[in-house]
Amino acid sequence: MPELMDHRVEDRFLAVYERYQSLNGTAEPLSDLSEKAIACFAKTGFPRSKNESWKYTNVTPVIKRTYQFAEAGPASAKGVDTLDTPYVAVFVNGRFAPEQSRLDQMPAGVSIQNLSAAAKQNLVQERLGTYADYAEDPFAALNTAFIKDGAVITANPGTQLDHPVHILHIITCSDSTLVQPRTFVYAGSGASLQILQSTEFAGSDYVLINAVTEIHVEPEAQVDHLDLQVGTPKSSRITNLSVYQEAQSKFYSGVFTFGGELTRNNLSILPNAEHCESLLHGLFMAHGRSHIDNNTLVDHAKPNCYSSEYYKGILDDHAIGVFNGKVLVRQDAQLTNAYQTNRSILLTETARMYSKPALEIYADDVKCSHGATTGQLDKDGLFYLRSRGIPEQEARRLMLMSFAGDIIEKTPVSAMHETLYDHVEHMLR
Amino acid sequence: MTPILEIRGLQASVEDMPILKGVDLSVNPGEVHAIMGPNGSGKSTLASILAGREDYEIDGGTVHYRGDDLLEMDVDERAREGVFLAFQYPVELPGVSMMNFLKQAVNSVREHRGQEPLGAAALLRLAKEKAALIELNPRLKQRSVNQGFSGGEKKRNEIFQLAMLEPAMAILDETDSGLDIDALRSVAHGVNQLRNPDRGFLIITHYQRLLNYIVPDFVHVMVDGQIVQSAGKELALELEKRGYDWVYDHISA
Repeated sequence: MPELMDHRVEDRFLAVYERYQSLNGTAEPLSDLSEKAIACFAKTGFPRSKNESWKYTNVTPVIKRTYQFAEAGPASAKGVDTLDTPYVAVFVNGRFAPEQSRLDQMPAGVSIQNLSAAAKQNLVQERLGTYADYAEDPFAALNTAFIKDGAVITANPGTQLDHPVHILHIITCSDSTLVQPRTFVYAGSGASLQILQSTEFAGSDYVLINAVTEIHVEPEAQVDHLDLQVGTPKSSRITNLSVYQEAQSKFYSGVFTFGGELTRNNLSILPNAEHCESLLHGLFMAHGRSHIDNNTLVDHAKPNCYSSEYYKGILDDHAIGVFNGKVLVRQDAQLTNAYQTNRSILLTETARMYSKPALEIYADDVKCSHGATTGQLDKDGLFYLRSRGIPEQEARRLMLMSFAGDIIEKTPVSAMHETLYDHVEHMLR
Repeated sequence: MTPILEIRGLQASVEDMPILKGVDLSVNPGEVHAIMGPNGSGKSTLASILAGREDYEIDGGTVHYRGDDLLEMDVDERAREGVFLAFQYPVELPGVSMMNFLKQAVNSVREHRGQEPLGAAALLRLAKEKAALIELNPRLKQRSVNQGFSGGEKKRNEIFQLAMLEPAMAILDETDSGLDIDALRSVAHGVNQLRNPDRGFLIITHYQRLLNYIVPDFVHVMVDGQIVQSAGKELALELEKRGYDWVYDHISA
């Protein structure tokens, strides 16, 4: 017999929603969306391990904790450490912090606003919540149900942003807290911009971040999105990044995950017109009992598109990595070129990697490939380096740095190269 | 005079299969020794053991390097002490840039010798000078270690590293295999430039042709895990003429 504690864990979240609504209510233009989302959440509930796409990732211990729903808090006193860019939007515990942000130099045609202010715009009204599938994804539903603040970035047709936008999430809560960041990006025809999202933990207790980012890329536009997560043993993070691409658009996703208690990155890309290019790159490094799960979908619906997915991981101690990559090539999507690779290195006997690249092809004239390798550090390479006088520790570091550097070198967000190398270096210490 | 390398009765095996069955060999400073022998005779195993590869069980005998027990040293320690192996099959290291690799290697060795580490500019100068000596395509220095190198370029890169690290004992494991005659000539030319009165060479080869260009002081023939014959350079020519069968006959006679 199961214990009497259930009350399903979902009920706790539903109860919080009721209380939250009666206290605050959701701002008018978003209330419909919020209602729909909570209804979906009530129906689907959290994923259980019976669910194929959650087979290797058990979220129960993380969601069973009692969390405060984050409220605005003071930013860390030490000041914010941002990317060297004039465009910075800061969110503290999920709430927009205008005084910490730098948005006064945005060039004409590009805007960053807080969602609660931008929610009345037609663009946001029509599109927000239409990419991240809250009917299917209970975490996206939970995020959407409590929707309030968030970053809304729009670029008018033809605008080129000269520096990346940095969306920085700072978590300062001292009690265990749920933070639900939300981001919406709209790149008009021919626009190009780069976005970096990262999180800084200044709090001391458990944190669960449940983030949703939706990106719409109009024809011939280009968006590079880099997600940097440097976790702590008490931080967990579920993300949903949903991307919609129009004709001849280009999209790059770089998902860099370093540590954290439990991470699940859901990435789904729908190139819904011809001649789209989609790059999905990822690097994950974990030690201790860290668990990092990357779950991706590229849904090729139209002909003549190109997608290339490349994820690499380094797992130490008892860490667990999961890669579930699906490329779907629908019947109409002739002349698709789709490639998918996952390579992982296990540094110990106890680290584990579950890798499942998958191609599902319904068109007959396509070029697709997939592959996965998991193994130890190449012994011959190590011997070669050592035979030149390089001490073993240094030789290992050199090889792992270059293994990871492969993904870093490929990111078009070149302003991040050094920072990313620093994080890799730090993880290898 | 203490030999640079002194091997006494060395026996080694892989998974209980004996490969080396008592090898004796001394290399003095300034000497070039060649070891020839048929495939499977144990030549490359000897080279691997000297470099410190751990796939072998040492069953007996000793190896001293400048008077110290070589077999007690770690792989990287041997290299820092001045033992260098030019690999038969150099390893590709995708993503490890040649210059970074050289910097780490050269400065590890320099530090061990009590020398100041080389900065980027000094290292580049040194690399340029040594690359010219070996006739290594300077563009290769921009690449990852051995990645996309042709067979000849890989072998040249080994000799280039030898020149950079200036070891006391250089072991060349079938450096001639897979080389065309031009590459062979230029690799040999590089090695000859690196001969000096303080350095010992051990050149392992199946064919005599390399020894037309690098003229050894001594030639040893290894058969079935033992050195069965040692003589001057003329032994190589004799072997070339008569083949290894002649050695077998010679032993059994």
